[in-house]
Amino acid sequence: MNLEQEALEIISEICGAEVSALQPDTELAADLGIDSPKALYMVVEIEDRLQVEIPDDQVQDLKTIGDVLAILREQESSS
Amino acid sequence: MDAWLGALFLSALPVAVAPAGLMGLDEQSMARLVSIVERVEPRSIVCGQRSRKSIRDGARPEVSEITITPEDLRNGLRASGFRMPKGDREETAYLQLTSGSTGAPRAVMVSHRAAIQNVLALDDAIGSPLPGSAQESIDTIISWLPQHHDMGLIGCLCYSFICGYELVMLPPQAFLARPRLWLEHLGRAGRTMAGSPSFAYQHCTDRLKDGEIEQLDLAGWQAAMIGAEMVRTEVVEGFVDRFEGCGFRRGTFRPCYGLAEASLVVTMDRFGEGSRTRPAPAGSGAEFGLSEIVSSGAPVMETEVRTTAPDARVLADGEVGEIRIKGEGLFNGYYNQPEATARCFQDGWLRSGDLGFLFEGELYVTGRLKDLLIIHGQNLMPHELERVAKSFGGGPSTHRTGAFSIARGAEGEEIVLVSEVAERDPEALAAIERAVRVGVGRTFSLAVADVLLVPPGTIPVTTSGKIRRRQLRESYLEGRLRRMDRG
Repeated sequence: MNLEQEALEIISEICGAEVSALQPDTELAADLGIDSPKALYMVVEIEDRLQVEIPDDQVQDLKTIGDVLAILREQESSS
Repeated sequence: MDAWLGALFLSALPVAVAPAGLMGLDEQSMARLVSIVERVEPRSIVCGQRSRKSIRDGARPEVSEITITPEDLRNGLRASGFRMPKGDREETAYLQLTSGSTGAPRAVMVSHRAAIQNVLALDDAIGSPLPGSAQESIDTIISWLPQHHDMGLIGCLCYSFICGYELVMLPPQAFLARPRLWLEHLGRAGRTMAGSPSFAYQHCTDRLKDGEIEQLDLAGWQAAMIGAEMVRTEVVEGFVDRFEGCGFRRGTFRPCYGLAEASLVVTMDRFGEGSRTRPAPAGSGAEFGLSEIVSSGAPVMETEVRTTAPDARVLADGEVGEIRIKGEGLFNGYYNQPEATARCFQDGWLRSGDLGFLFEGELYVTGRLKDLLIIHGQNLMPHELERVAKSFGGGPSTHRTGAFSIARGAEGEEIVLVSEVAERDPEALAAIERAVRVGVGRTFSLAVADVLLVPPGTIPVTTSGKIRRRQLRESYLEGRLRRMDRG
């Protein structure tokens, strides 16, 4: 499983939505109910389980599933 | 924290302000800071390096000129000549900000006497069901609460140094990202106490994995204050179910009620049997849509509570009215807002703006007169949501918007937004609804429980054009609002 797929599994665990429902334009807060507490948990969970680092200045800009996947793709290509 | 405590010693009226995001102040927090500065007229703003840079880069000169770091403060002080101030107990010790995430908050003036009395009252109430006093039964407070919130400031920090408990403080972000850490400390640090808004307990219930729970031993946790927002019995029971296997007892939960204008706590459960409920009195359940109301307990030491009808007549047990408070923990008023302060009091009783009933000496909170939402333990003003709903959805075709909260889900308050739109086309309506949800989601990091698009003229207003949000909510709960998008 690649990073993006694992991240979707993690997000699915957190918000209860099926992985298939997690589309690039799916909004984290509005569609998945990922509010601040869940968002913080999500970021650290992704970092820990996938051994990646999401820079502080990018956390606030994570608004959609696509945003999360984009950051992971960056990490994958740079590693 | 040092700067806050130091300012207290100097009688310099510290005001704790919610910190900015991870990267300094964004537009929203900058706007809020400026409105705080205008209201409170501080001599200095003390903050970390990142925030100071943001402020120096982005704020008006009057704001950036007074912004310094704790190091600047320390360097600027002269070591000699300091004498411990005599301190008049009735003098204001610090200001507690109350209200939403944008716009001008109110600054509650808390006196030395009120803060001390409220802490002692809290300690007395906590000790009630314990085998000895709180002091004999508890060693350590484990807090993740931010210091700008009254539960963190009085309930943890002041509580610790006035009563002599050890205090372990986790950064709020650490708790939210890793709730397990809070629970680990609660289990490891001896006989512990903690307080949290309801959502935090639910966060633990939802996020901890079975393997992590197996490692926990929560038998030493003596008291878990739960308050600061609507307390739901489902949240309490859910937490008990999840954690009783590692030693957590239902009776550790201590529901409570309070507000910043009363320092922190007004009532607290004294039984130590977890949450107890009564059915919502007929008609009052419509406030939030609740059928069962959790007891917030009896008034704490040196505090009286009563409920009144709109004509100020005192009500009997079981009758829902405005919760009014008298006692030693009340505030000195709102800083620089004498009129708002005067409106708060009637015959020496504080008007809480909350609704509830008393039964056998205990308070049951059923709703709110004041237009306020409380989510994640933080106040959110309806007009902040309404402004976003109007600007993101529909533009010129959106007329009035109204926001209120209900308690449809099991966890607490949820947001409902109503927008009057002149639009008819189903696709356009769907787009407006989506835009509103996304706008609120991105601005507040919150999901909306329901968005209703209604014909212009639907939202009830007063003769002066103010939105009657409670009436709007009542109509919503009774299914009387006609939705445009559903034909």
